[in-house]
Amino acid sequence: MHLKPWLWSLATLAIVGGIVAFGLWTLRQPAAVAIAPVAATQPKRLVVGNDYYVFVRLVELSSRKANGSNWDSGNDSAPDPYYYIFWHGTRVFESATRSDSLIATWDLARVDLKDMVTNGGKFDIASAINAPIVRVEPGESIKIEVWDDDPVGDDLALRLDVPLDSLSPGENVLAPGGTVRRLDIQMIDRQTPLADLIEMAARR
Amino acid sequence: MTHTLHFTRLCILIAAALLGLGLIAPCMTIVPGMGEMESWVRLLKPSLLRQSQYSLLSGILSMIEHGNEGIGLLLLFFSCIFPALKLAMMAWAQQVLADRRPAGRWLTIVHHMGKFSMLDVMVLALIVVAIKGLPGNTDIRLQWGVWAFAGSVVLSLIASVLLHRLERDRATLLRNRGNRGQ
Repeated sequence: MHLKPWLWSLATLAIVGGIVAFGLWTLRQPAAVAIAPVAATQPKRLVVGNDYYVFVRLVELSSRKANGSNWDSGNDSAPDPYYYIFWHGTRVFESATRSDSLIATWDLARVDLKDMVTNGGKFDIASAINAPIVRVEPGESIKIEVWDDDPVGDDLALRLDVPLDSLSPGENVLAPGGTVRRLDIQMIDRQTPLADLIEMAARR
Repeated sequence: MTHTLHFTRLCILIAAALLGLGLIAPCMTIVPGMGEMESWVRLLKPSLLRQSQYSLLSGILSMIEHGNEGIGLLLLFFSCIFPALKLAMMAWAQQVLADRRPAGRWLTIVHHMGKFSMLDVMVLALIVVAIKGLPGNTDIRLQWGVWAFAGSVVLSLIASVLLHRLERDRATLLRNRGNRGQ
């Protein structure tokens, strides 16, 4: 094979450069593809028969009550929201109260130190999940009540029936209207590995 | 002489291909270890235990991205650009020799470049030794990219030896012709 010397040099550099360029190009592809299977494996609806954690991550309230008055009589401080979750007509969860918040958030994991002490220092990870478990059945619904904690007579901000078949796994942001402008409900499969639950809890 | 020439060409071309592969193929996998705290980390922050894989090029580029431009550019030159240029010089020299012309100048350049030829391997070895010393049972697993890179270095050394032999054979041939002419 008779080529000019510079052509041999160029060919050698082209082999090195070509492989590197091809490698860099193909290495960039998986990042775009990798996201697709994750989304594809996530079902769009809750799976009937499965147990799910119902985690209310966030509640946003309007600055005034439905009748236009302040949340706290006598001052203009923001409400102190907390919520209940009912399933099968039974209260299955009561959240902690957030003080003076128009946007109240809760964490997926919560350690109750008092509970730990009364249990002789033993700690159960399942008890740290800050959400009740419900089982999804056709036609089932949960009821969520959001209240404003007042020294005398709490104010009801929202009472909402949420059909379970209207929810999706993961984040569901609802805008119920009235005094509750935003309600963020996370539906998390109970079979979710503990490590993933901890990851979710870390993402606030 | 023809066989040697073909073999030299083959060595240079394969060395070029292996160099390209060695730069972009996975070179090392870092398996983080947290020692006695590993079970807690696995429970509380499992993302910290994710394995990370680097190629020689991605490692160098990430070094540059993270503010170590000096050492990153030095490594980029000696591990990526320099070996490619050395092979290009060898390719040039072998064709000059194939044309029965003296390749002294090109061979001198290749010879001088050869002095640096193990520097890239040494840098790689130093990195591995340095990371091997990390605490918490962090493990470094070498991947096939290292073998490709090492193969390229070895083949370029063989090609360099063969080029010198070709030059010597050419000189002997010319001397014999000269003697016969006298």
